[in-house]
Amino acid sequence: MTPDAVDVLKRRFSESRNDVLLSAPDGYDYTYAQIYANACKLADDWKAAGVAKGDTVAFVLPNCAGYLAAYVACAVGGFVANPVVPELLPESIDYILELASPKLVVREAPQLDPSLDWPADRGFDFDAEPDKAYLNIFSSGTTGNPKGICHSLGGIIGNASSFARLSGMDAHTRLYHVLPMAYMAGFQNTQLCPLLAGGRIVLGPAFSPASAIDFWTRPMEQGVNFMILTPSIASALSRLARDPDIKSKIAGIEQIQTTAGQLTSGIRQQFLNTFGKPLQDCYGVTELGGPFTTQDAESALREENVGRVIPEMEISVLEDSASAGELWIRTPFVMLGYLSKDGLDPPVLSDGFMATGDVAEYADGKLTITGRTKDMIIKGGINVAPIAIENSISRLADVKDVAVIGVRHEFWGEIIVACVQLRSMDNANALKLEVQNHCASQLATIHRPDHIAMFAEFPRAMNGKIQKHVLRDEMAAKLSENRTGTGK
Amino acid sequence: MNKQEITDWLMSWFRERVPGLELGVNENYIDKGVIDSFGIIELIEAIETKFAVRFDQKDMQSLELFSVDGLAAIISRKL
Repeated sequence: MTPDAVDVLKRRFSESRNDVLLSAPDGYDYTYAQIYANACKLADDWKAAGVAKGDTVAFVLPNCAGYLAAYVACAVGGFVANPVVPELLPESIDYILELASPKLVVREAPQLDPSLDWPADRGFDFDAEPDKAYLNIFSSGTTGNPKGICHSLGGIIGNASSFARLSGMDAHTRLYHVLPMAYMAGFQNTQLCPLLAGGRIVLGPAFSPASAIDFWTRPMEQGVNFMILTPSIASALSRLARDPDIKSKIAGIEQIQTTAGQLTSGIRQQFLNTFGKPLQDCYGVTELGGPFTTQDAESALREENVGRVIPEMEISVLEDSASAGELWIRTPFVMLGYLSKDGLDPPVLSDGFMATGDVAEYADGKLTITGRTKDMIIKGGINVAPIAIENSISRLADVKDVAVIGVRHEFWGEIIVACVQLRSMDNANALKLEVQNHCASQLATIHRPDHIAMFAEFPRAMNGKIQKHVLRDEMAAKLSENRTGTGK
Repeated sequence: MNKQEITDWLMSWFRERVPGLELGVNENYIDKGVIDSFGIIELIEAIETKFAVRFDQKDMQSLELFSVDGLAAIISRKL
């Protein structure tokens, strides 16, 4: 039986009361008791402003040391935390706030007070209820409006506890935090998981050009042994590495996970060559509670999958012809529902299983994501997963990034188009030939791209993800022009 | 290539990405939001390819990295 989420929190804060939970950029180390005391102060301030149990508090905030205390304050007061990414377009922020109807919008970073502490003779109380709403996370959809995904405290705590165990986090964990705190990975993987494991969060600056240049100094000074990056950040760090001694300097880091994006073979290899550390891929779905698989470091050296699954998850990979390979999951940590103007739209489940929209293989207890159902290319009735092609092309030294898409075609239904971003366009024609030859020698005939297009830059979302739908439209127009003879 | 020609190339690199850009050679292009989080990587790689130079750790930690004039100075020293 899943332990009561409130009991889990109480026990953690009691057992780790005097241990450091947060090392802030200002140099202060805050214990579990100090973070709890600051959270209680915030909860009291919000109550004084009219917030009651069950009300929503929105945070429109950049990363800050006070963010963790704000999340804890919502558990203390029984409020619903609703983080909002401040860099979103104003109309998107307005949309989110209208849908979430918060009682309070916090726009100024809460300041932690290092002089606040929790009396040793007092216990830790949380007014939140395990099966009631605790967190609204808005996904950054590529089309339309953001989707509000509502989770209970029990779902979030249950999933995070299990994922922390799977990841091997414990009281010795010192995790370096550089991800946006308003997204699931910036909250659950990087704050809640180390908290529940009794570990420490070392807060770094949110990843940026300036921080990328001197990325490793702070984590090394702080004795960090665990990192969670995105594939884009991992790639950026590899490309910016200039310190010849970097491998020995970061030898103390035991685990480096990647999340929130597709980890290609090229990024894995580039990172391993540069830093001597394997990237351990993770997989998760926000609607299903967040992250729920990861590789261990040893496996990540040899295998390209997303690793083992937390024990509470049941995996089903469809075998029927209509949705062959689609991954369905049953979990006790599934969301309460999507936020709508009428309340919550519950998840659509079939015998408790929810479709992920991803195509996967599951063997020997390990999961491999081979594509998105919506990205799957169906050429002449045969399903072609773009990831295998992308992985192969990404291994070429002059290729910076690659996106394989399906473009509508009168005869085939869809054709395979490889969009290749080069490190330099100076020899684009020669490199195109190299990509063609590589595909001809490395890929099965059905997987070989019908068209290869070279790009200096890709259209990307704010988090660095390639916008495949934009590429698809662009290539469809370009190929159509070529076929009708109007293009050059 | 002299420093002015390097500066011209750098300014044209920025203007290709931000048409109509107004950027002084001593201004911090990061603070001005001229390029996004991953843009500096593109910039450094473009410079290394164009001028056949390699930035080292000292260059990467130098304040010169964040202005056109500073970049031109780094590149000039390497040519």
